[in-house]
Amino acid sequence: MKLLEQANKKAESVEVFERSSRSIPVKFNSGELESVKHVETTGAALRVINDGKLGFSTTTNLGGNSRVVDQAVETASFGEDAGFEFPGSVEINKVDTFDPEVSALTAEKLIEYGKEAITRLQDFDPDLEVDAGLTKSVGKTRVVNNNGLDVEEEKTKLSLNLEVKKVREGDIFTFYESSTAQKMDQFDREETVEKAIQKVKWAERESGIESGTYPVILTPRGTLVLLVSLLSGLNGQNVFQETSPLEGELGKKIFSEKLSIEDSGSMEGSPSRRSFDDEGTPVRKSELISDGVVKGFLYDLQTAGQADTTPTGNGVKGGLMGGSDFRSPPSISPTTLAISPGIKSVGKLISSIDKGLVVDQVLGLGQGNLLSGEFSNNVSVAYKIEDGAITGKVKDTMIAGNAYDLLKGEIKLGKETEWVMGGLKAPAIALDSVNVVRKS
Amino acid sequence: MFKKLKEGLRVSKGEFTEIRVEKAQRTNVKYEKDKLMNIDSSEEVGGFVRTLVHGGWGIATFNSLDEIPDKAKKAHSIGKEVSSHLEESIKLANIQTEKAETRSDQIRDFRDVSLEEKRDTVKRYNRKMLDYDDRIESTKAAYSDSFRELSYVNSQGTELYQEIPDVTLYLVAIAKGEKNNIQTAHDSIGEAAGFELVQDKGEMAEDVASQAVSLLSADPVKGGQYTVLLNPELAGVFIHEAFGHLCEADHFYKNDRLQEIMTLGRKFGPENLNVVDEGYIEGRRGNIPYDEEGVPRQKTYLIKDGKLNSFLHNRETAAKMGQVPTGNARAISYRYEPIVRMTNTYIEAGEKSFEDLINSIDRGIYAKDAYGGQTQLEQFTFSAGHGFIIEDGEIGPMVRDVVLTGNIFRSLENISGIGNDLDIIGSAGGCGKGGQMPLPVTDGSPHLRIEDVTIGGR
Repeated sequence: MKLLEQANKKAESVEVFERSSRSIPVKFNSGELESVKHVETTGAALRVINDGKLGFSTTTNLGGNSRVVDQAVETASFGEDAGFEFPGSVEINKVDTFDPEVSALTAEKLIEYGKEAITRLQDFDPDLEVDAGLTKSVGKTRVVNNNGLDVEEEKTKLSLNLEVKKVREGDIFTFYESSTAQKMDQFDREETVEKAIQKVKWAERESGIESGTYPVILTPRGTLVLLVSLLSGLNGQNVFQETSPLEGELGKKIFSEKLSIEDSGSMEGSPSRRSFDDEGTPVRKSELISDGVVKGFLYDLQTAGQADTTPTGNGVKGGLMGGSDFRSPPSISPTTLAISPGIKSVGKLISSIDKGLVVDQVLGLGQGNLLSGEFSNNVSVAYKIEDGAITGKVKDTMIAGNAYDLLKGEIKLGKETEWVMGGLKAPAIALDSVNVVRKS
Repeated sequence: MFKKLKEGLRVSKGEFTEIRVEKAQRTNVKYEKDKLMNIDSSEEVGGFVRTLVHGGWGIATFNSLDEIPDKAKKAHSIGKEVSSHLEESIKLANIQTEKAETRSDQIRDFRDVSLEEKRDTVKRYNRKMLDYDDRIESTKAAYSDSFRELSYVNSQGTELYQEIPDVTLYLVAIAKGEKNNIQTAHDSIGEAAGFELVQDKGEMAEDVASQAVSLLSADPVKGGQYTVLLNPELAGVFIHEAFGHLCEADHFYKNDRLQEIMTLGRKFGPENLNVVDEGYIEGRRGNIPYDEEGVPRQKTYLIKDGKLNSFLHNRETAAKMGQVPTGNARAISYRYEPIVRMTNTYIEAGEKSFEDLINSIDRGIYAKDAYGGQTQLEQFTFSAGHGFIIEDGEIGPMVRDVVLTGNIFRSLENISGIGNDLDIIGSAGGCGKGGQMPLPVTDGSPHLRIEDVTIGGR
């Protein structure tokens, strides 16, 4: 590789991350096709270690005439002690991440899928305004370093995103529904649309709930309210910097024994399935919380080096949703996260509650003191449970609590799981008592 | 540069074609606790071509400028396909042909500042926070600069070259008390300026550290309905979330029901409420001399004397609604199409002094600084860095975890006082919409008093 050779002349140790991707996003606005795009991106990120110090630079010019090598070398001269070495050649357990059928999808086909979804929703209720986005993408990643590592993987991805609005004077109901898959046979458009229709049905009536403390069921998507905090606590960087409430808790049972969470980048069926992270470290199955006991944290090369522990294959560029953006340096992120399901169906969980809420979507996710676990969110998609049944949507309502405290208490998990945000497999989580404030 | 772009126009057969090319150079320096986590100096080139064919948009993006003619043809074939699915052709509002060059104006050009000085500056602020108090457990200090050169041509003869400098500094202090009491404070600045912006910010670093330590002994706010007094930073986020987004015409230009609700002249707030989106204010981060469709900047009154006065448009939404483009077509980079976005959005100054505003509050919250906010048409939320209880017109103890929420159609009506101290604040980060984030914008307001605001909490 040309860039590696060029850099090798000026730096002791070199890593090149190369990424090329092509994607076709198709967008519908208010039910009508708005645009089709062909997006092609090629770029490379160069990390060098000189005199033990780390430097970083990126370029979109792969032709070899860019200043990327000089820039990386210059940054290294002002850089931090790397605290790690680029790993040598490793045995990678390659998993299948490419689907020729997704790769071959045309814009025409995506338009057809979009029209079908919109028609189905508007057949159900002509008052629904639907914005839809369908994107297929194919991305190839290669990580090469001068210690002998050279790994490459091509991944496909197909997603459907729906933003549905029902507008009445004094009441605008908006929600999102989406699905992402790596392979065609995992892509269930109809199920996504059915889920959207279910939301509209449940939201037909408006139900009020007076301020107080109630049981709350978080849908698989709703679990993000707690997970954004928990993930910052499981991040090895925050543990190392002693700002995670989980620091010093390794091996201790601090959550409900019903809670088990693992990170497993090569998990079958994951829309983000991969064989190695963006530093070339093979992904692995890491137990993070097992039956309520804290079992491990996530690390990339740099933090593992600083904390004198083993990298877990969680050095990801651009975070969970960042799509391996070559411009970002690697940082710690889950690859595919899974929360173990429970034994009761969500229907059973709902029917066992006299008065409470189901929360699916909130506004202001992650805007607050994530480290401490505090959350306080305006619900955007939530329903009231009365005598074991959903009676309508609630609005102008906030939920608040502490993620750590709630997960230490009595929780119940649904038996069905769903893929959320392209990389989280979660069941519904029923919480015993959450504070609810409603505008009177 | 224009030569290659015009070559693309020449081969394009659509009824309208525009081509953008962006050259960017960036530096990032980030400290966490006592470690330099990242130092990055990079360059990027890329472009975007968009063609209207029989009333349908075809779009292609690229990294190599040699590909412009091919991509123009590609965009044409996509546009043709798109148009076959359209019931109604896309039309663009007429605009003037523009030819202009906008050079940047930095007091101390950050491209001439050494990496070493940038690193040392950030290191100094980071160290200041770490050394402030034993209870400061960790910190983040991040600097970024970017210099973007944007070239734009369209088939109507417009040729624009713009230089957009952007510099930000973001400081975070994390304080730790007894078990699990972990509190975070932050502050940031961002402007279309040079390195001078981030010099001499030692006081800012001390304030952030002091804030984090103070939060350790603050109680969480009790949930309920309050009269709130927002400081200019938070009030700016409030108007951005609570009303700015709603005025973006791409939310409703095809939605008749929403248009019925968003009728011009509808009363949204008190008579002394004026809300403005302004495309260029000296040094501000939201500045765009010309938008990404070649439309010159404007000052648009979204609300005038309490009534809905105008929307924010791109050429397409303006044409569809029979209005004029407002220069708000923006994209975060060459990989994205321009969509309707805000620039510098603010509430104009009123007449009340801070004392006037606070005196009449029996029980309320003085909420300050912003973590962020989000809106979904009628519902919005925004989080304060911290707040103070107000009792009988006096500022009392500090409270934390203050998240405010409201309904767009009621909250503006509940504004009961507008201060005389307008401040437009540029911070790091930016606004997100339609998968495009972060877009540099600024928000501003004087101190603002609002009745009956819901605050979440325990």
